[in-house]
Amino acid sequence: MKKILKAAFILSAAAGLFSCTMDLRQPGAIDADDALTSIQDAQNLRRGLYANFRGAVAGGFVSNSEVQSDLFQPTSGYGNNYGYFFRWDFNVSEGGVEGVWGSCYGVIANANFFIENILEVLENPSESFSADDLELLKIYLGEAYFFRAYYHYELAIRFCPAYDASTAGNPDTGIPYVTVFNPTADKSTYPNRGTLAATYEHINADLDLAEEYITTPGEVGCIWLTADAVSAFRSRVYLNMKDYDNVIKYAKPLVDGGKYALVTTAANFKSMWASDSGQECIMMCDASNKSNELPSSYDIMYISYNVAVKQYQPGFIPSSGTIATCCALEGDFRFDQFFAQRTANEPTGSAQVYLFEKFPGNPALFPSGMSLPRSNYLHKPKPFRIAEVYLNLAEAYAMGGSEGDAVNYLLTLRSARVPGYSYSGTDVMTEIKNERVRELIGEGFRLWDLKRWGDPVVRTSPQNSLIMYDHSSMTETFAASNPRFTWPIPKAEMDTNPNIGAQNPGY
Amino acid sequence: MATTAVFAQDITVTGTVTDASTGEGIAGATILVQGDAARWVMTDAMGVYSIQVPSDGVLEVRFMGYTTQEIPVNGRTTVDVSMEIEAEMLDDVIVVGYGSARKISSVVGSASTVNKKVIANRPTANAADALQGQVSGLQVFTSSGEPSETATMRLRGVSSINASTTPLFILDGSPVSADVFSSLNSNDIESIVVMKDASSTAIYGSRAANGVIYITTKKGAVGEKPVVSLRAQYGVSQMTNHRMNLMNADQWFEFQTMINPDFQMTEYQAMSQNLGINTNWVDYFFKEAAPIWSLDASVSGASERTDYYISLGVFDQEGIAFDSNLSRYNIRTNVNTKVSDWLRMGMNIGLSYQEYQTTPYMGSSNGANSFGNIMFASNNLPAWLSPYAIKTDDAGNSYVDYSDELKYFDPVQQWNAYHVSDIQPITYTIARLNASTYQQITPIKGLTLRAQQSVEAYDWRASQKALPVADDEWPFTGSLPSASEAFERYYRLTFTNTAEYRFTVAERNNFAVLLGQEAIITDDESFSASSEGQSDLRQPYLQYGTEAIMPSWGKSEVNYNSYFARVSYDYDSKYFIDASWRLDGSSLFGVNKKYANFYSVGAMWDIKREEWMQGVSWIQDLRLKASYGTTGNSGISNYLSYGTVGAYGSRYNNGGLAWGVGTPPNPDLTWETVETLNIGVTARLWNFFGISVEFYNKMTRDMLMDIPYSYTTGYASGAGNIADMYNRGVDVDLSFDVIQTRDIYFNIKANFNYNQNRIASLFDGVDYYTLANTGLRMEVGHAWGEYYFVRSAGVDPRDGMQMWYDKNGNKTKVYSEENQVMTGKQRYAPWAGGIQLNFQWKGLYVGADFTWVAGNWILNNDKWFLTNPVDFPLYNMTTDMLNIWTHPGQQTDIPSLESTRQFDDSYLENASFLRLKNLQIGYSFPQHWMDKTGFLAGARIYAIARNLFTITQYSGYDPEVDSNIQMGVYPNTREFSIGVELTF
Repeated sequence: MKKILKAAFILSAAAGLFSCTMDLRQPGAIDADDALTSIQDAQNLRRGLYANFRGAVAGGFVSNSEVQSDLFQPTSGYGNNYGYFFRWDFNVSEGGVEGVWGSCYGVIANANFFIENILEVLENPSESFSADDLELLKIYLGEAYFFRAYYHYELAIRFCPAYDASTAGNPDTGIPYVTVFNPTADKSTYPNRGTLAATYEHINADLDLAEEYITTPGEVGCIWLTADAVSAFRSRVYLNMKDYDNVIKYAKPLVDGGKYALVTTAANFKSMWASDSGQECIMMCDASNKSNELPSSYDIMYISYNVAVKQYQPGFIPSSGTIATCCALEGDFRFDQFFAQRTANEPTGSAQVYLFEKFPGNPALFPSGMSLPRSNYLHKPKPFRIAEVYLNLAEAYAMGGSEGDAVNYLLTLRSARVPGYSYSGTDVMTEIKNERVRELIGEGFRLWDLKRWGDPVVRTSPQNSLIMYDHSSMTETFAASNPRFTWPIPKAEMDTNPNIGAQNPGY
Repeated sequence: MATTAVFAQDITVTGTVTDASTGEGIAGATILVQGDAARWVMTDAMGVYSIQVPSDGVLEVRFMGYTTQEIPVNGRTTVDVSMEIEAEMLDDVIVVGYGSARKISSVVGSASTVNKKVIANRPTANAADALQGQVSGLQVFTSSGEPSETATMRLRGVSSINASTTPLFILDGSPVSADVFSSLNSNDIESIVVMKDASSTAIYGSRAANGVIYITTKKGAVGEKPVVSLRAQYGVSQMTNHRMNLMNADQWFEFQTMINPDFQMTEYQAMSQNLGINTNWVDYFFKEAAPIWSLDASVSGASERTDYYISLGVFDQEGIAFDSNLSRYNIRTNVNTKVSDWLRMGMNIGLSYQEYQTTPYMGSSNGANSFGNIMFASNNLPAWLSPYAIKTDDAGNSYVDYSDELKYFDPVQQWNAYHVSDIQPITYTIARLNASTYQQITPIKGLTLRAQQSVEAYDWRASQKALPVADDEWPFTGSLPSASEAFERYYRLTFTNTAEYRFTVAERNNFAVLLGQEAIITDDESFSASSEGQSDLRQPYLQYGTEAIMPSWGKSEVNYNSYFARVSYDYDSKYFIDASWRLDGSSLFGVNKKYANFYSVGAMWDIKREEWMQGVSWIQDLRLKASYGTTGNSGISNYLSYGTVGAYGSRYNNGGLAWGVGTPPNPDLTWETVETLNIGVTARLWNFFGISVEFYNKMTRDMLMDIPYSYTTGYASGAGNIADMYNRGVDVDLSFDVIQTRDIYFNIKANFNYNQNRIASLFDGVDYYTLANTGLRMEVGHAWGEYYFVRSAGVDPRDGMQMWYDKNGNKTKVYSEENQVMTGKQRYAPWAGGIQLNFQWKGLYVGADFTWVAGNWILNNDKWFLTNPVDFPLYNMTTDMLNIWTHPGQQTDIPSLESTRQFDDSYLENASFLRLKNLQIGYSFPQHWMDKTGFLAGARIYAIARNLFTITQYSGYDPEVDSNIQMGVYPNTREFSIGVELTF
């Protein structure tokens, strides 16, 4: 009996020992309340914003709208990629639309989190931050304001009607402008679309702060935001607001300053894209061939060279109208760089056509062991180039009535691209519009340019219909009044956010 | 007053000893007179005895396997004895919750047993497949023909939307993961008990909301001499057919001419037509008969103090698809020993090793709609395409060169799936341990202290390569040859300590009190590394790449701390009351909600045992039961409750870490609670008809929802305990002993379940929430899983355009998601059941198991590609497409080319099915033949067919896929197997 009791005692004692901790945390996850305790933390968070930016400059931010525009047409082998955009039949639950909406607000949330944390540190600096650290924090703060403005702008050009001062005050023309980090299911806190005027006021207010705090001087091909990048972006924003004085205010010093010289030779021009030389770039995102530093892609199956069978199998090729516009200037080296005649092989046949080869892939971004003609078609994203600023400036002058200045700046740009060029245009605005195609094709500007100008999307005939997708939208004209120039507020947002306001017309 | 010593007088007592559960006489039972070793008799064949006893004597009645009874004579001359089967000795003895086993007829809760006969010998690695159709209310699906596929199970409807819907699996007393079914040797299983209601499951607390499935492995039988048994089985798997008729080559060309009068054949197509090429891609890609075999050996028995069961097993199956196979090796050792009168201990150790491959490009995240998926390729490659090169000889005649199998199909610009798979081999291995040990002390009569320690552990590896091949054989433009190795090590330790005290008060008041404590520690660690740029086919391994990719590592831990108790009471085995409680703590939940209580109460009335029922001879059994209680569902992802900032996979500026916000904080995150009411009646009538009916109402509260957030918060959603949903229904089990004679036994069992599922409330008071791109919508008052679609209204014969119904039922030609409606069609089957036929005539046994579900619908995504000639111009089409609208006035349901195809309700198909899951014919050789051999104790041969036939309206390959959508799914296969079993 004694033995039994002893054993029973041991058993019950053992029972008491087997209990375990209830407080388990994910290894490597930082407690959100403790995320900014040193300048290293700040740098990590800052790089997070830049990594987000690199991922969201190209990709879906470029592809959907380029396909929707008049520049490219799908081949018979395009596999319905971006098909809804091409046919203009996307609807409120289109994944591409929701993706852009969601990723913009995702970056904005990160910016807000960072802003709130920095402000807290700046108000009550702890000992772990030196005076120099606090100065750096202010730059990071400015950058966070910039990104917040940038992504709200990206939303505004897609989800709001074209800016027109007379209608910008109408209700439900804006997008929710979010300035707090507050992930919650509490619907009462969800923001309203508001007016487009208010949206742009917020954007400009944030950019004022960015301008104040980002003291980093400009530098060609800088991988961080600089004061010049802020100016370049501000010229873009004001152009969309048709506030031409302010475009000139921000664009002119950049252009005249001469820091970002236009390249004037075919070779330099080629290296700007083919090997990401960084010339002309007010900012170029950092990227490498490491799998965790790859950039988002500008390519939408423009080339698709199949190494195994040695065939070009593109999904999208430029339309005949695009070719006509781009080759209109005799001796324009951009045309030779961007377009090449190839035999495209498609399921329905093969034909000799021009392919768009602006993005052949930078070999420095290839995984080691890959070499041309095999390619991943990646380039370092170039969110701000001086050429765009030239065109912004020229357009501002043209629209503002200073045609002479407009022609001047247009001419400077053209002369750089077309050796020995002499200006012979009649309507300067038409020339600027065409120039934007020649210069910015593939970079995601086209659809929003047309929208700003109130121009329709006029699809011209395909280069060779044998190898093309067979659908009426191939040569359709989409009037400027077509509601799909403005993307629908995603259904998911309409469903979850009772405060959002009205859906865009036509959905 | 004089006192007289009264000496008891000997009297003759007669009576019958019967089995309490069957009422049949027990032959050979021993009747002793206590205190007089010399006086004893045995019962005769009818269970009748007669013995001389002092009139105040006490009879002791003993029979192996039954509880010994002591009965005072008290002067009676007739003493009938009803013997209770000793709990641990019988098949239908089960462990409910913790503590010792009980007879199923005394269990207050709802539980069904599936015995080893049903589970053994099935020609599949997955023992769960055998449960299909066996238990009312339990739906089991095997969603693919992949040999390593695990089954999904749901008990009494789907009780959660975002948390797990899988029952809790208990193997020999300790919790195990769902894949235990595919790693166990099915021949090691003694029984599987399915526990359905709160009374039987509440003691498992926060993991039991979906029911509990308790698996018991075999042990040596008491009194058994060592028995050796050997079993060998061999069979083949075959493809099932589908009901979508695909075009042959001529039809395809005809179709092209119909839709495009200018259609010109390419040079290849012309050659193909001349040669009469008409490729059947299913035949090309799939094996006609893939082998499946298994071998088992076991030794079992018991000595006076120790029982043992030891088995070895090998199972090997090739899938009908390439790179699809499974080899498994099992060892099991179960030993129990009685060290002394008060101390017992034992161990159950199961080891398994599996090596398997799965055919690539399955599942929507892996590119199911690519031609690397052979199901997709089989459907969509046109019949005029040949997998072999078409060449031209010197005379200019074309011919097919069958020795030249193409790696790339130039005419359709697709790679041969064989090739794509060949150069991307991936192999998985997993070594798994399921072991438990226990020590059990009985310090005083009725008190049992037990400590059990269990471990479930596995080591899993995946080794994948993209082999360096010549440039013209390399299909992936944007990537390079690569190698990756992934590792995962998992363990779960469970420590359970219980004290159980059974005692009787005033003879008939039986109590059992159980107290217990349990700790569960789970740790899952994973690691993977890869490199790329391998260039030599002889060195395709990790270290031969030119570039290393940043390796990844992860660790996930979950802990539980729990306390529980149960009180069971019965009065004379007539009235039963049972109450249980569990306090469960889990690391999964929010700071404010770490612990929760679960409880149940249940009662049962065994009416047949009432005096007044004894005369009712046509009723053999009649019991009423009811229970109510709560269980929890903690089947959610780890670490959801704390707000975090984490590092992105991406880096910026020379590998600099990049941080971003992670999970939003949720301190109130807690488990879902399921409140279950269960009312049932069980009866056996006229000695051949058994019936059991149970009604239940399960209310899931605080359902964990992925609450959609406004995107403006930066998040698409966050977890929260918000919604309510109920499942109510009925389980019915019927059993008919049609023929029951000495030589012939024919029994039919049928069961079915009807379950009504309704969402009772959603988050934030909304009435509905649409899940983008799934075709599903949650709506209060509707079932979870009801499809939300725009309804097709046919084709306008005037212009060939597709028409739809708008919300008001008017026809429109504009497709708009605004016109989606709740279709009344559900993804989860409200009806399910099974029918089992068992026939035995001497040594011959025939068994058939049918399983069926009804009322569920699946979106046939395969059809999308086969009916969409604009988007997929070179794909094969269904023959229905030959009715495509081509001219005004044409009545057809296939719209013209100009009409853009939309995912409307015409892709929804009724996936109800009836399947002959299992047909088995066996023959046991007569015992006297065995006796002649002198060494064989038994010999049996059998043949088994699995999935022999299926009746369904679903036009794809397999309606058994447990999903709302099917695209390129590897279908279930049909198996034919033969086997032999020898015992020595």
